[in-house]
Amino acid sequence: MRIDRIDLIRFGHFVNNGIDLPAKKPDYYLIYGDNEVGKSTLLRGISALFFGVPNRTPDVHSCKASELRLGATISDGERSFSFRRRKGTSGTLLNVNEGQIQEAALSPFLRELDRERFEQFFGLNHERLREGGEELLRGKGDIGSALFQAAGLLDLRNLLDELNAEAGELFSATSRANSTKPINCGLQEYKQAKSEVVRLAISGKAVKDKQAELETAKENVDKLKAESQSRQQELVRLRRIASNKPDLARLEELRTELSALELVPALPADSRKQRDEAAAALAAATSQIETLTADIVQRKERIKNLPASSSFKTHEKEVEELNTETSAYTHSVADRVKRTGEQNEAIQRAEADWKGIWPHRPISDAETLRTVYSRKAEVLAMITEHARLSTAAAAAEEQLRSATEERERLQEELAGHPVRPDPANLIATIEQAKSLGDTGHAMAKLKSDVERLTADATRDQRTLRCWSGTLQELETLRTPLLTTIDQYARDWDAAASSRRDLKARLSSVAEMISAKHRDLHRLAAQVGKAGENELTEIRARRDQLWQLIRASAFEKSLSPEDAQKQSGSSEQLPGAFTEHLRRADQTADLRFANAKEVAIHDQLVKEIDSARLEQQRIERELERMESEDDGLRQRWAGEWHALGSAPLSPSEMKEWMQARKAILDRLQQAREKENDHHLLQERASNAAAQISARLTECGSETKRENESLSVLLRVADGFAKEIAEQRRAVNDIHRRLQSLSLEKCQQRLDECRARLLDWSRKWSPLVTALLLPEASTPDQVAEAVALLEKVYGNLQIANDKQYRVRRIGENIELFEKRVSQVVSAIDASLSAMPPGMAVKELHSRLVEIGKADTERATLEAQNARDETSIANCRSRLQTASGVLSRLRELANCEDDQQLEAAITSAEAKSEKQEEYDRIALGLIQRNAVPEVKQVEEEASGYELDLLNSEVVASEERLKTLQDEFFNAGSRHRELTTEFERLQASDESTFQAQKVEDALARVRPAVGQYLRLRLASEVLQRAIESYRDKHQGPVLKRASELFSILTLGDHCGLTTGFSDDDKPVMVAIRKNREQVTVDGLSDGTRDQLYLALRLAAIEHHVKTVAPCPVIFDDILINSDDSRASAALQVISELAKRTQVLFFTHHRRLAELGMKAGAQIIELDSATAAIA
Amino acid sequence: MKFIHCADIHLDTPLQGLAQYPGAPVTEIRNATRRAFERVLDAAVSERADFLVVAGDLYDTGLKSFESALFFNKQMARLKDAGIDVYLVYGNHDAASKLIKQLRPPGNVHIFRSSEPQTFSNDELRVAIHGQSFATPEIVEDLAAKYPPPISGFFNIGVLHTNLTGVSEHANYAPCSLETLKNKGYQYWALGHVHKRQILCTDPYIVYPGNIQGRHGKEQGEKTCELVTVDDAGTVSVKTIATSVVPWVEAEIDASGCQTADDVYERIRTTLGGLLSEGKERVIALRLRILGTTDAHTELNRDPEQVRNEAISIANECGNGLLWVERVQVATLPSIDRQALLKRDDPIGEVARIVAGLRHDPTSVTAWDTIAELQKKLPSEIGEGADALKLDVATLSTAVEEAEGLLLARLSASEAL
Repeated sequence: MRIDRIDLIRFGHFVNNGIDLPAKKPDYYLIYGDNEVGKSTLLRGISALFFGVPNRTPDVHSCKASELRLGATISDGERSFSFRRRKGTSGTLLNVNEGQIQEAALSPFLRELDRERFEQFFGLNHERLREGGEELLRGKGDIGSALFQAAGLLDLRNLLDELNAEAGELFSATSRANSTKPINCGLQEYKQAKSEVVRLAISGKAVKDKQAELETAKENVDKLKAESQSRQQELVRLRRIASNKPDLARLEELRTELSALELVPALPADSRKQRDEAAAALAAATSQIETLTADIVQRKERIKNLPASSSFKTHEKEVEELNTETSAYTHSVADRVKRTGEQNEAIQRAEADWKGIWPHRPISDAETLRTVYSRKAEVLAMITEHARLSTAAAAAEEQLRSATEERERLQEELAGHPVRPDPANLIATIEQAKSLGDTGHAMAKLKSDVERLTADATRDQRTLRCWSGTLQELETLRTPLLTTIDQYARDWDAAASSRRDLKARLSSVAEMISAKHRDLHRLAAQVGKAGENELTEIRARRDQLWQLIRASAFEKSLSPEDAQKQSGSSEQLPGAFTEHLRRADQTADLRFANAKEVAIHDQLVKEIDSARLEQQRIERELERMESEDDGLRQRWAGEWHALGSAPLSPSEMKEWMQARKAILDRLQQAREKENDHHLLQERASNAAAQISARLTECGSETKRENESLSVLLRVADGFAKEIAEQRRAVNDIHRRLQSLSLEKCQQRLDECRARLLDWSRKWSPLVTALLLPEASTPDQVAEAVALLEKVYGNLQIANDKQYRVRRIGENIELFEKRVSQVVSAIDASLSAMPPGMAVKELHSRLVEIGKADTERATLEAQNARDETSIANCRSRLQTASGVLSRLRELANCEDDQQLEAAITSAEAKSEKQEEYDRIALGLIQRNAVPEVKQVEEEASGYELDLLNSEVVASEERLKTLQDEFFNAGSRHRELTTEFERLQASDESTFQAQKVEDALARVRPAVGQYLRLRLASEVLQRAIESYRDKHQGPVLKRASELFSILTLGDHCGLTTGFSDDDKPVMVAIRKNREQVTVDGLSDGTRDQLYLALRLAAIEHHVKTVAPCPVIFDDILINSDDSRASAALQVISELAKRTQVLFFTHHRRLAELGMKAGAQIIELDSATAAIA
Repeated sequence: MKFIHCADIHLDTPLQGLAQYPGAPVTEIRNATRRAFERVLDAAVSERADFLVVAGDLYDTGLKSFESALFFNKQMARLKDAGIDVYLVYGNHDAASKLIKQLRPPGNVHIFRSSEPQTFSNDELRVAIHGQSFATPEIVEDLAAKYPPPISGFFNIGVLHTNLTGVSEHANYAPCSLETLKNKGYQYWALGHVHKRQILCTDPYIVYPGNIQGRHGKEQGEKTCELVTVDDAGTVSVKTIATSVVPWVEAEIDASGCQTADDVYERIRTTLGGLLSEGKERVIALRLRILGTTDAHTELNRDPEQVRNEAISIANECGNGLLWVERVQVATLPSIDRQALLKRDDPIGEVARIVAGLRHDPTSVTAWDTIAELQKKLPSEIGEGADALKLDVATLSTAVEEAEGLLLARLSASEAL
């Protein structure tokens, strides 16, 4: 993509400016202007054109934010696109006519670029260039992170560390038992809970033993309980017999005493009480009779002295009534005066009101108006009706006038509208066409997609490793199945793994041999040549020499010379034998003296021999594996014979297969989209033809046979709307005309006037009847009626008051007459007093006489009661005398003295009999027997002393038994509790729940660990894979550019390692000295950053698409020679993509021109483009 | 006549999948199966049931302690005091446990023999109860076929621990068909083995009451036993009695339309509020699934543990100590175009392509050192039960997808995406 023209319509201080940038080779423009002339504004403008104007922009100062406008024309070799950009949050991309268009219209040109990537790679100023470089340092030398900063590798490294740290927080395979990591901790808890489950489990034997023990304890308790109960019963019996003994003795004594009193007469038990009560009653009755008689005499005397009631009694009721009414009488006298005054006032008010309307007529005429006043409601209704009719008539008149004017106006308007045909068919056709969507854009998108997909597929197949054929060949290429590749991958990995293992073992064995040799060497100082091998060797030599001596000296089978010769020794045979004999003994002695070291030495020798054998075996195994690997490689190559070149490893070929599939998928997508494109094109053409036909039908005169569907749609849409609008306006006028009706308005006016006439006819008689002038208005009549109502009201009040005064006078006369009659009857001397006072005096006298009557009645009643009491006393006196006579008769005595002695003897006899009966009853009840005799029989066999000792012995035995029973019961309860505890036990169950709890805690943690580890591994692999693919070529190119940009002062870049073993970037000076980035000067560092950016830009241009690159004064730290080199390098870049280089240095402009750039000068005075 | 039919008590079996955390209602969950069984017995006593029928799997296979049997005996003594008899068949789990046979239950408990079908009849109630226990854990023949014919004039109940053909995915023990049971002539079939309540037929009644307490997240909802009433005319009516002490509930949170994780948490809060009102003052074991295509996907997947902690916090806040968050599964979808990712020529594209490769062969990750180390340390039990975690194809496939989600979420957060 390149920029053909930039329009700065209203942006920053630019107004209606434009820069033309026609394509040329190299595509290199150097834009020169002083500081503040607008270079940075231009750079922001280009970014804003592609990606929108930022919310906070410094470029809104020559216009309102809504008026800010930029425009451009861009192209990509095949197509050209002109557009504008406004400020806003959405829908800011416009066509040249300011119509809103989709953001996607820019996508085919921008490809994968976004604002961030554009500003970091393609819109560079010196600050951004340095920031990128500083990132390199902040990345602590991680070359990949810095080189591919835009792709976020630095972030990825941080994310990787983050994921690993999180996973490490969850689990460690090497953690100790007390680890706090959730998974380790959970597993530890799980193990503990499992062992607790086993430990706390209750066995069957334990349960049975406990049950048996419980049953034995129960039996023991029952036995002791039975024995104890038996002993308790015996003890109770003995104690009972012992307690009976004293009672039985007392019974015997009482029997003797009672027999002595046998002749004493029996008297009632309450004889003494009867005698005492009778004597007391006699005395009390006598005394009371005397007192009552005296009281009666006194009361009779008092009654005689009370006043008599005479004639008052006959008038008592009348006096009481008059006394009650006296206050009402007094009030009536005062009220009569007040009401008379009120009556006079009402009459005066009525006369005053009457004179207000009828001044020349007497008020008595008011009564003649009663008849017409009774029609008051009718009069008022007519007044209201008159007002309503007058208003309606006025309104009807106004309506008629207004309707007439409206009809004239609408008729004029209708004459101005032409008649148009119905556009329904046109609208239906438009809707049908619209349902196809934005066909132009969709077709462009499809076409763009087809081209992009085809280009991508072509590009990818070109970069596909091991492949030099065409796309069609790639499509039909015969490849092994994925499962086959997987099988090879597994075999491949297995073989590699085995080889690694074998080599590791080989290396390990060699190291072991070497170590053992060192041990041997160390032992040699002590053991010397006294190894087992050496000893065997010396002994063999010794034996060989002995055999030669024996053959030559004793057996004579060998001559001495031959023997000497065969010995191979320069020394004489006997001497040599003696020497070896000595050495053998010496060696054996040495071995004996250093037995421990010798044993180690011998063992080391054996181990070395054994290791060497192992070494040989591994080497043979390795050779065999090499041979098998060759076979595997050949078979692998055979699987790929159609490829035409040697395949990579199976895992790489698996990735190759994925890459191939991705290419073929793109091809398939391209074909599908091409089909879609054709189909859509056909539909659009048909729709356009139909719309043209409908337009003609609807009267459109313009021929549009070659217009596109979208243009036709816009035109047809507008045309249809126009017709519809006009038809709607005409219809509206017709409707409104119909709704206007002058006849109805006139009719309404006539009706109102007729009703007013009717009203007048009814109105005149009413006015006359009211004795008013005929010309009186409805308002005057209404006022007269209201006043007449007030006159009637006051007259009514005067009548009411007059009636009231008359009634009060009647009541006063009646009261005075009644008083006069009573006074004459009782005391005529009181007739001179006013009636009220006379009544008061009579009433006072009546109260006094009433009090005397009450006291008399009270005294007479009390006398009657006392008479009755005296009679009662006499009756009691008689009863008491009878009781005393009967008692003397029973005791057979003459007087009260003898009676007293007889009562005393009878009481003594009765007491003894009662004691006897009580003791006998107690014995019978305590011993639960029917008779005392049985108790006496049971006790007859026991002496009291022996009985007590037996009770004591029995008590002691019972106490022992109770102790035993208590202990047995406690034991039984303990066992029962234990067994119940067993029954309620849930410890083992609880631990089982804890096992599940631990597992439940571990499972999600394991899941999370798994996710984190998988994510971390995937990310790690992705980073490595990406770096493998991309880092190499980019770094290589950056190295070349760095050398050029530094004019050979540095011959390139390479990677080294920091102190903490992380890869860092290193610059190589021309003397091959390596220097880290922070050891470079500012200028050189700028060259380095520029080299890295240029390499990355070249990579993007090559692998994605060309894109304009803008450099804004990036060479401020470079001298002329380096700047010249940089401008030359940039010129080379301009052969592949458009470059705009901004500077305010005249010198740089000149250097740029030499490097092939075309100069465009910005004028500071006018901000116009020269 | 009234009786209670229950089955699959699995006494003392631990509830699976409930990891403790601060604020979790630990006490309430202890011995949930015991408490649930006590509820069955409470119902028997309060409803004045004539007898109780237990259709197998009273105990759990894995139990190695007599605790459960002792507890059962004690509870049976309680029923004895109330004059309630118990009729019990042993199921496959009971037969696998050697311990229980050594402890004799109280006299009111009638255990059906395993050698052949057996009938207990009650002349007063005019009821005949037929049944047969499992002799061994794996009975594969149709036990019902040999059950005796019905006793005329009696209400005949068949007690059977069976996997009825086509009813469930449970182990196929003592299989039989619905037709066999229908044709037997009994008036009620009290079945056991299937943990989900099902009334398979109402003439005659053929009933699986389900287990009385859910044991893990897959045994959702209220668990019950059946109160069966038979009137003088022989008409049967069945009423369920809730027995769950800790019901398991899976709540789905639709995160569609949520812009941020806070929006999702607000929806969780609303959902949990509703749940509590249904919980009847009981602890609820809660599994949350967050679904839907949402803008909050990235935030939720960046740190699933954080989401879980937030959910627990909400549960503690509005659950009044009655919500136990068992699991929070974030299964939302991002609005990321995977095909576009695969085509990217940058490390993100590499990530997408490596993940695509792993999708074809997820088990290859077991060869990675970190995964192999983990696998060595994990006990075999972690791969058992309803919530088994095995490093098999299914688990690893899911883990690969989740790892991709996690990566894309983090990458999105770091604006690399």
